[in-house]
Amino acid sequence: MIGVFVCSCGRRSADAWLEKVGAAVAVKHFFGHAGLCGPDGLRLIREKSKKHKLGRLLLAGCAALQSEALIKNAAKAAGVASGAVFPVLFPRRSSPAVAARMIRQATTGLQLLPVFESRRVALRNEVLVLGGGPAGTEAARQVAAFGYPTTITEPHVLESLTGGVGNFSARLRGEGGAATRAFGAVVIASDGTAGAASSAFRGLVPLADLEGHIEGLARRDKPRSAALILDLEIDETKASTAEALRVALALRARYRIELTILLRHVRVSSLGLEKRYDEAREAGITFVKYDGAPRIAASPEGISIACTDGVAGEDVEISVGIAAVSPHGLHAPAERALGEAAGIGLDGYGRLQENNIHLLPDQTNRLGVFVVGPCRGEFDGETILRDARAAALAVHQLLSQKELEVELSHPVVDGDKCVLCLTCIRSCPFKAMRIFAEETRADCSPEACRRCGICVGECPAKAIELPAYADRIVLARAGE
Amino acid sequence: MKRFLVVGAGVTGFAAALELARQGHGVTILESSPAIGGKVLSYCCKATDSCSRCGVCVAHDAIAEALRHPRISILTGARIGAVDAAGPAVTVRGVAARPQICHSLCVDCGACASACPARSIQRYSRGGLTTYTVDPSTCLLQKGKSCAACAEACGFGAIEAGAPEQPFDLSADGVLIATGHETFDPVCKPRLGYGRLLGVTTGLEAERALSRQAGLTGANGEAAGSVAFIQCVGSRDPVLCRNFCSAVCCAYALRMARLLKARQPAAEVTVYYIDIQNFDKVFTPFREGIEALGVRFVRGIPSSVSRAGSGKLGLLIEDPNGNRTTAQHDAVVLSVGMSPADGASRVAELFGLPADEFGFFGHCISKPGRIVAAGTCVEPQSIVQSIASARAAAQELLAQGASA
Amino acid sequence: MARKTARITALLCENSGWKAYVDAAAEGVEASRLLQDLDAVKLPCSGKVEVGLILKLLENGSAGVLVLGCPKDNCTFIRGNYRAEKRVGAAKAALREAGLDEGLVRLDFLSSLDSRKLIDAVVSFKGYIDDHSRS
Repeated sequence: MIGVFVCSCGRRSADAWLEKVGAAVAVKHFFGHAGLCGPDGLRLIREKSKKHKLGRLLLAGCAALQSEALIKNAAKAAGVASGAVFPVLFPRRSSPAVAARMIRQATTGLQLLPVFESRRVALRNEVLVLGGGPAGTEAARQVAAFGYPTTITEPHVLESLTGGVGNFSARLRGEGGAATRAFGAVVIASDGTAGAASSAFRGLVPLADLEGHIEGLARRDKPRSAALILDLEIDETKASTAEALRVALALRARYRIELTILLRHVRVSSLGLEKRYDEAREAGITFVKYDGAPRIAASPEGISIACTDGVAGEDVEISVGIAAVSPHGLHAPAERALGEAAGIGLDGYGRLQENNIHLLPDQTNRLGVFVVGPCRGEFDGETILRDARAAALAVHQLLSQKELEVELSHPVVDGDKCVLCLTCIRSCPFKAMRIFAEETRADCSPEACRRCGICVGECPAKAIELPAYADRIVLARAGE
Repeated sequence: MKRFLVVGAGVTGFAAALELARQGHGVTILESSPAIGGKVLSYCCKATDSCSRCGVCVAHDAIAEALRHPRISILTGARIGAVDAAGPAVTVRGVAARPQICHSLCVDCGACASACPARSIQRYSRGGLTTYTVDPSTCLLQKGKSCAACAEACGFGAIEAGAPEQPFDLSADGVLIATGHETFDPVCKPRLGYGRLLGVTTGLEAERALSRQAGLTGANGEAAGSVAFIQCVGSRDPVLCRNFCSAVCCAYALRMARLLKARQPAAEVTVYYIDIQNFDKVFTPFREGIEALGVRFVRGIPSSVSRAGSGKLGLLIEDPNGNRTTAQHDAVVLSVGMSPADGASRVAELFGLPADEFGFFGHCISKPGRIVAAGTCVEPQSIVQSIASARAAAQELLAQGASA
Repeated sequence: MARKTARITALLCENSGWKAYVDAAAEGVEASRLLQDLDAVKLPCSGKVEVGLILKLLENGSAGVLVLGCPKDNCTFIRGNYRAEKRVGAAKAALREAGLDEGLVRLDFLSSLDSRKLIDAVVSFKGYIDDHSRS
């Protein structure tokens, strides 16, 4: 039984307004009140729900009725679950005709709305960490400290990752073939692909190798001047500036080399970095902030770099004995293999995880799968540790529940219409769709599904329905 | 179940409180001001048809969720008197103002605001986050009169009145400091004309303006056709002993520049800068996109802003070679930097947190696992980074005695 | 005799459009009068919208369909708004082929914080519909 409670929200001549609305709505259990958001209103709800054995309630009125606290209070008063109370929002000063229309739309929609059951899903407590660098080891350490059996592997052994939070199936390559293991959560913390781009770049030394390289040279071969080049193809971060400053100051102090750092912008947005920059300048290190693209030519005598000095506004050319490039300033091969294996999207630089603000720096499009560190584009040491901790806490939050209660309101696939085109599987942002082999149709996992309805919109055969938002319900809500 | 204390009810404090509460623990948030939510409530959404990833909407979602959580309680108008961290628990004593509004019980009926005889209660509602704030400067109870109109009007017991100031004595298993920041006040740089010249505003004021209207107001009182952003105001400034980068000013200025160009394509937008700090996961396309929109980037910070002819503002720029140029704009936005919040030094003292020369707490912790800090009080950082920092700090608190 | 006003259906994503609508609905007289001509339907994501639904809504008497989704890269479900853009494009194409005005369906992007933009979008769309409903 549906009960409709309408609030006149402090209107003048409330009774007359409520009468008009009631007459236009013509619903069996219609109750008007001057202030549903107050204790009197709740008393009315309690009384009428009990008397008429109301199973579902419509609360119609102003934005206050949208508040979760009010809905909970109303549900409690009526003796029903919060999910059985549906708010209807009237814009301020709505006429009785408009109010009635909105109530009619809501009740028709409500009558078509199914009641959903829930299912409890047990969550495994094993955690997989892919990558043994600083990010991976910190994440594994923190996760294990919470008491979860944690496995660290090399990232490239992951062939596929299916399933949803609490029940992932990871297919891992090993000696003698691949094996499938089950995990509750996964943290991806590989080193990224940046290094792969740098080794042979125009004869330049990767920045991280410069000190070692110079140390290995015989005394008479040591260069008298060196250049460090940042931002060559893409803008780098403060981590690169920090590294360049560190290397430059070390080389200057140790070998008294003339140092020039070429970069687009000096990125100092970290505590203490501005002071390091001052220190570097005081030590006699030259900074060239260039515009456009530097032209680099290598010869037996050394390296010459020509560029436009953005501050002075003129072209400059410098010749140095050796030059290093920061790999993070170069386009790196996309993390395609790992992204596909793990079902994680890529951003505009080809790094893991699409650039979406709703995903915090350790989160991904798949609940229960986290990405931390260089493979995500984060190179700053403190930040990597921070994200590893945040990921560990998020793993703990998910898995400490031991069981997930899932409402079975997920999309339903009609086997007669499904032609296994795999569109839904490709378009689901959460990898919640899979093939249900026994019935030769696609099937949705309610734990991984986020009820967005994208699969419904994408299915060319119109074989999928999201029960709470089926077309007939949407049409009812928009109709007469 | 443990009890935790969070100092500061901004996005960082709420994000941390939510993490702790979700794990089944009780959290009390102490906030010195009368309002909850902090600075993010003043920022505008800087999306055009595409998101600029400023994080303001995410902050609203996080705060709204925290406000609904039954295990999180908040005391506004709170002043900490004494802290004792010697024993197994941290005890914090102080006083907090009344009336207190409990947002997890509040149903947003507005009865309190209607009932208040001094009209002291303000409602803020945006993006699913609704808060009610009592203005202590007009509240009768706060001014010493006997009044409990709001508490009596509330049908849900969400408001507590009584004596205007009441003591609290809290015992916590861990404390998270999230006192946030203040924005630099550019009156300290008088040559930039702030407070003297119409049309010169701070980044924070520009955010508020762009929330309400399409563009900025120029020096002649009309819609500004030409806007200049001056970066590094109060940051990277050795003369003012503020030799640090505030991290977020390039981000907010460039996002607002993009927004202005999208709303008013004919507007001229210029950014005067030293270096552009990186932000966003994929920065280069963002920067190139702004340049393609026609936003001008000029390497050099104007040394002064003054009244020019025809109702415009004149900016004087001196380049490294000593040449001077002037540029005219209708409006100037000073991209002000961050300072630790007023009262942060007192908090540092009370809780034994070491602060650096600028007052930021940095990444060192006095009592690892028991007293931690997060957000912009640690170092200048963005909204999303502050939320991440809050989550990491919550993890630190929970990892102590993790098996509990 | 009450003038029959053109009723527009607004399909609002629950993460952005709907929240902005709730804020707008609480605003002053102008905004609320405007919103009374709107049949506002909440959807989980603008990406759920597809051609069939849009055409059915128009068949059922809606004067126009306004889809409001999150700004690009702001979709809570990652790429729903990109899909919505494709779908609304396809719906416009279908309308064109049927000899109807493709302007009867429109897609706008706004965040949960931008009730101002929602009102502007509704005013603009309503203006278009009112002008074109004369024919």
